[in-house]
Amino acid sequence: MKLYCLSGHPTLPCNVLKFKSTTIMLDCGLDTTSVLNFLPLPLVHRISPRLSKLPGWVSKDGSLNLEKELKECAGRVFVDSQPEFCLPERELLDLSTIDVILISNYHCMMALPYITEHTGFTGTVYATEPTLQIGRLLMEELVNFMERVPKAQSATCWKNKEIQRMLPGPLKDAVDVWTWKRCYSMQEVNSALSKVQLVGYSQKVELFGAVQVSPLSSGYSLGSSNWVIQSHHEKVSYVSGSSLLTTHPQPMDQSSLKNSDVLILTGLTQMPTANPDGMLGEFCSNLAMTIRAGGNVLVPCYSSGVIYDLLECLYQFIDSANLGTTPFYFISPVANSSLEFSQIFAEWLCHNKQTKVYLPEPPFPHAELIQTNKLKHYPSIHGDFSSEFRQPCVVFTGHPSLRFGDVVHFMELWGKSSLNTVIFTEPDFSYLDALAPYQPLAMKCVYCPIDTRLNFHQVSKLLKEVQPLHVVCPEQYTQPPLTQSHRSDLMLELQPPPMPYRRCSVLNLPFRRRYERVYILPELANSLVPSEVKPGVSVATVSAVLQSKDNKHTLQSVPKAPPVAPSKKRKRVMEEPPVTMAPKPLLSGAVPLEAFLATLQKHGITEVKVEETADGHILHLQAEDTLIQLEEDGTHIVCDNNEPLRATLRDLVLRFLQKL
Amino acid sequence: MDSQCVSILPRVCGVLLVSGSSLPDDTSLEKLLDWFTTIAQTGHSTSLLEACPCLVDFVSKVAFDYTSGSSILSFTLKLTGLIGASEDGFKVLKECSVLKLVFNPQHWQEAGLWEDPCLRIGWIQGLKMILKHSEALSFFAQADLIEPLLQLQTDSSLFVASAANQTLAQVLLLCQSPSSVGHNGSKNRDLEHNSASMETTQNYSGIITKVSDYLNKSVVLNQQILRLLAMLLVRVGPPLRDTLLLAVINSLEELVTTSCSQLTVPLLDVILAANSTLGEHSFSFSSFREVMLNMKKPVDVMQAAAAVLRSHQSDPALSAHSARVLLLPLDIVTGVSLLEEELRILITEQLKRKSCISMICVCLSNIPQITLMASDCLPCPQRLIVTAILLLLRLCCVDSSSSSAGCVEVVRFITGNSKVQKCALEALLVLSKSPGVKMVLVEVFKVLTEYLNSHSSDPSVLQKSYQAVIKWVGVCPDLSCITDQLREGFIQAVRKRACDTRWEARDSTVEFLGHLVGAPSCWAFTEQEMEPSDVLLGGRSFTVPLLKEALQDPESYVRASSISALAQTLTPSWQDGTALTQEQEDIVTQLQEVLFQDSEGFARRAAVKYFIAWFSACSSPSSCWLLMQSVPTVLSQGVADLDWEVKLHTLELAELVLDRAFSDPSPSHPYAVMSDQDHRLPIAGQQSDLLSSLKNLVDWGVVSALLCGVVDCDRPVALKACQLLLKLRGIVCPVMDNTADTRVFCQLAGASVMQQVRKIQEMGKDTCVVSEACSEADKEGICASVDPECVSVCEVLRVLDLDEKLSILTQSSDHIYNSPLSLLQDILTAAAASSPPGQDPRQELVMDCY
Repeated sequence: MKLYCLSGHPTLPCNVLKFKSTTIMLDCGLDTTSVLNFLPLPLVHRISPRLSKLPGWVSKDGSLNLEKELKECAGRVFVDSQPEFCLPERELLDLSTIDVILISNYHCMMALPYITEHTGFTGTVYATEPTLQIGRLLMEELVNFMERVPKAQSATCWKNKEIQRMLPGPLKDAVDVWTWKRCYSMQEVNSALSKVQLVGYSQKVELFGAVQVSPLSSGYSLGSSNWVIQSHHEKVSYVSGSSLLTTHPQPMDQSSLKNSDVLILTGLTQMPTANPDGMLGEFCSNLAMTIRAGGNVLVPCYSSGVIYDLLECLYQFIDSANLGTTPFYFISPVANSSLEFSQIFAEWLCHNKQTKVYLPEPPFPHAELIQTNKLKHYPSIHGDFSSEFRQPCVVFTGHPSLRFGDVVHFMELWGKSSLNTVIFTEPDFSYLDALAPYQPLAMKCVYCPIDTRLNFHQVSKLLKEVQPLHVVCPEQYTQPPLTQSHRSDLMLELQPPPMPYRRCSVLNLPFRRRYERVYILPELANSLVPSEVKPGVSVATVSAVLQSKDNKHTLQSVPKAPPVAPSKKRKRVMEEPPVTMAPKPLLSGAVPLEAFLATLQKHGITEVKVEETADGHILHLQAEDTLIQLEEDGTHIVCDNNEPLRATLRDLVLRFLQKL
Repeated sequence: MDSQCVSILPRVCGVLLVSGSSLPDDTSLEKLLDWFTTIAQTGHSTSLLEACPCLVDFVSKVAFDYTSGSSILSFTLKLTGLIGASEDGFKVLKECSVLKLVFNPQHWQEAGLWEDPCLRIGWIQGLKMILKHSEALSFFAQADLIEPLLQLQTDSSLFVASAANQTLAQVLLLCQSPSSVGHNGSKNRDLEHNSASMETTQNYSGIITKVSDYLNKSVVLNQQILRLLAMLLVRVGPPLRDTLLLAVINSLEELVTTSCSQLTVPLLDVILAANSTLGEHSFSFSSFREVMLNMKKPVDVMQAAAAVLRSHQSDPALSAHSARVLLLPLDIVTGVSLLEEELRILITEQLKRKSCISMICVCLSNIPQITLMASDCLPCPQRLIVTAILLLLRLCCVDSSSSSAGCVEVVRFITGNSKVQKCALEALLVLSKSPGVKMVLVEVFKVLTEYLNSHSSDPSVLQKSYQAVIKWVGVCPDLSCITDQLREGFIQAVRKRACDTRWEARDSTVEFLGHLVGAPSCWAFTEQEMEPSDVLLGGRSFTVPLLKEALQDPESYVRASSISALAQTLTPSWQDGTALTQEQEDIVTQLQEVLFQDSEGFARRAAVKYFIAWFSACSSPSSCWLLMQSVPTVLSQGVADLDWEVKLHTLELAELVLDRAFSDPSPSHPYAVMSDQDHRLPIAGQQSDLLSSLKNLVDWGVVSALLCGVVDCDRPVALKACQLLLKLRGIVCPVMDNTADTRVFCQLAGASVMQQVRKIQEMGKDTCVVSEACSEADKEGICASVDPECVSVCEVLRVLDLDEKLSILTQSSDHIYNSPLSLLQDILTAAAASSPPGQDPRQELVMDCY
């Protein structure tokens, strides 16, 4: 069993598991942090002339001039081009051999079009319905963000290895820049998503008869799942993006992960020291503080996920903080669908919210915020929004990287005033890097990353409970974070130690398959004659033909030899049907020493010296110069040149054994 | 004593004697005993027996009759002790030979009653009570009661054992006085007494020997004896203590070497008691340090060290050693080298477990004791301790990326642990007073700001951080080291906490804003004297808007705190008589809204207190138009409030106004109560002054507030109002002649109040007629008032029987039910009710239960 690791990102995994005869891809996360190296895509050039006026970059000695491709801003260099993403590794194995892709949540499927399109992929993708629908929204949003501000130019010179080496800052250290790709198109998204087959929690899906896969609720987001991959005798669990907190999704199913041979652990919290509750509180207080001082609040966020919890938290907070009249805007091409989808996936919600479905009440309170006009949503800043825009206000919009989407506009609009605040809630991007192209910035910045995924304390408790034999995890989890090297509690400490992986690792999972299930046909089973070897255990010999098809093994009766057709035309060398020799009987039982000695005596062998050994006894027949070794699993008679004696002794031994 | 009580006491005794008589409740006997005790204590000349002669009879009857219930027997034993506590009573008891019988354990053992702990406790307590004089002691010695008393020291009932310990101590104390006198031989005493004491010294030394033997034998056995020993060592005087110590010294040393963890604490107490009282007699005591080193558990060592510091040991070496031990966890965790210590390895191991939290907390909570030590005894300068605590606080902070040179394993346990955080902040608070720590002010300020800023700080931690800021700012007169950047960070943190989602955090923030105003002035960078609140937060322009926001808070505690904080913030400007701002006018409007509309009492109470603070701070309230305009509203609204505390505060405000109204001409203290004599002699012009003051009071609504208050159903409110009315009467009535009073009328707010005042008036009038204090004109005065809701102030003051009202109000509402007479009657009634002829009362009780 092997695990190919195509992504080293701990929360955006992409691994391929070869198990029995199947090749299963576990998630295909897209690492979008590469976009931080690019200049933001301004929505309205009129508002942001600053970005178009940035000076081009020339190396200090003037030898290198990339003015067209690279721009300088506040001491950092950015690529002036359509942003590109860092894809999962595509050279490690042939992607066309992948049989299935299992998706655990909508954040971990953003690379799907890169895997399923133009690679020869012919398999199936399995995901839950909310994962598919919200994943589609996120992809749609991404494509929309990119396509509505097309950039003619595509910078490639800087990627030249020789040139890249001479670049400053983070650009120099970016890895595999040649593999970076521009965003996919809507057509590719549609094609990729057409390969998705929907599954429900705990539904069992057979893969070629070899293994069974089944999604389990993971409690992280709507429809998010962990996967169990099992054969009759082996079980592999894949844990990705799980949460034990009581937020909106269905709670995590932990018990089904028990007794795994291997547990692949990914998607732990990226903010192990930031307690989500504390962060929510921090978010609310900073928001209130800014609004009271007459400033605006910008929340760069994804259009689904934590935003539901943020809105719910604000719903309770608005009145108590006297923010009743402040407008809240949610701007995203998919804002409307996201808010509405969340309300209809009742079966995927936590119990508390599920029960609301039976009342004349929507599960999420943001519906009420919309009804009372406190929350308004728009597809973009163009159109209706501009006529209804009122300040001070709170704006939720994407993309959290601040490189594209409507957020770019608000950063340019509000960045100059210290009254305004930008509050980062998504943990995926370093907020300092995200803000780099906006420097110098007067607006206040607050970092309240809300990551509800498992923390180290929770995961060690979980592992204690489910007790997998082996744990595989990204190498980042096996040591404390770099910035907090003294926090030995911020890492996985397990016995045996977890197997770490990094991008491009190929792990041989420490796992020996010892059993396989074989079926026996009824008529063959009828012909068996079991005999009891010890109470409760019966044994029978069987002669049969083993047929293996679709990873299913069946024992069938031996076909009778067909009658030989008389051939007169030509004398052929007839192939003799295999002579089926009656098998020798199998023996079972043990030779009792005392009784055996008595029998020997009866047969005139009296001079026996018994020697006790580790495994049994050695009988030395001194007169006959013969040895009999009686052991647990075998009896040897060492008798040179006296075949009759040997045969007698053999028969005496056989008297004490059962024949099958 | 009430004659009625005396008359029914014999009947009560009779009832108690009847076996099985049920009592009204199980506390009756206790109450009865309390009553007797009060009589015995207060009746100086008359002993209890003189007051209640029937008691001796009762005691002797019970003593001879075993059939009484154990509670009655126990009660009787205690009562015997109480009677015998006086020498006269003792004689009487001795004469009727009750004493020997009652205190003879044999007597009770034979009756099979000694097994009952109830009886044993009665015996002990009786014995303890009786042991007040030498007569009793010689009785104790002659009857050889020391044996049973020693047996009871380790009684299975903890109550009995504890009482026996106390009694034994008392016996020894009593033994000690004649014997010590005997040793000195030069003290003045009468010959007769001397001969008696010489005679009994023999017996007493027998007692002491027995006690010493007993202690020596049993001290190794259990904690109870160790506690007893510690108590005895503290209480008895030198020669006797030396005797005791000599007796137990070997056993104690043995205990010390074989230290058993359970006995550690009591053993420490004994050693400390022995050490603290060591005079010229010094013993070959293995030193305390060794005792501590012998302990196997670091936790015990820490406890021992803490005990030493708490006991204010005079031995500097010992204190220094203890301080070193206590500081060790801090040292190990932070790596700030405070000290060298052989215990280091032991404690380091302990700290790698979860129990490290309690250990660190013990260390931190003892820092106040350490700071009290002389500087030459301190293992390290206090500044270093502050540095270590700051580092510890940084390690505890979730957001911090600080690392220590110390024990890394601890970090996982203490990070984010609010218990450690609180203890450390508490220690930091105390250390603010230490010498030479002002140079770390910036560091302290940084850490505290970090805590205030941290999302993971518990509200209680935030509160402590705020307290620490105030303490440190208060002791550091020079705040010039606080840079603009630090200040900005601090302001942001405070602003954020004012918007926190947890009300506790908002509350602490608001409170802090108020408290900061009270901190002493400091020097800022400009070399000018400034208020800390100005230096840190930029003064009122920052604070007041924040507090005004908090007035709208959904949580009533926060609203209340913000009102108090506003009062604190504005007090300096009130004192200076600075002109009112629009902001202040807005606040007053908001506060009046709170008073009228707020659903919670806290906020309304705070609002009234705001006006109290304003009125008291204002040098000349009458010249502050806004204040004088608000007072009538506050008084009329406050006194009609549903919350009694609001009403009481309103009356306090009324009192201030009242005092101010009559003290204005003279520069006397505003709270000074004027005696009647001041006004007895009418001085020209005084009457008209008084009249105008009274008119003002009426106009401000003080009088109607008092009249509303005096009929209030809440006793404290009515009492306060009554006292104030009496005060007013004392000032006004002697001066005013009868014709003048009709000129000041007061309107009463509600119809119900009006009715009640009228009712009281009516009652008062009857008495007035009889006493002829009320003239016809008065009556006409009442009737003459055209408006039926108007009353003449002076007339009402005179007619209302305020003195009677006061005496009623001062009594607690249950004074009748708690009287001894009621108790006695209850016992009689219960007995009568429970024993109808021919029926077993207990059976009936059982039936009732079903």
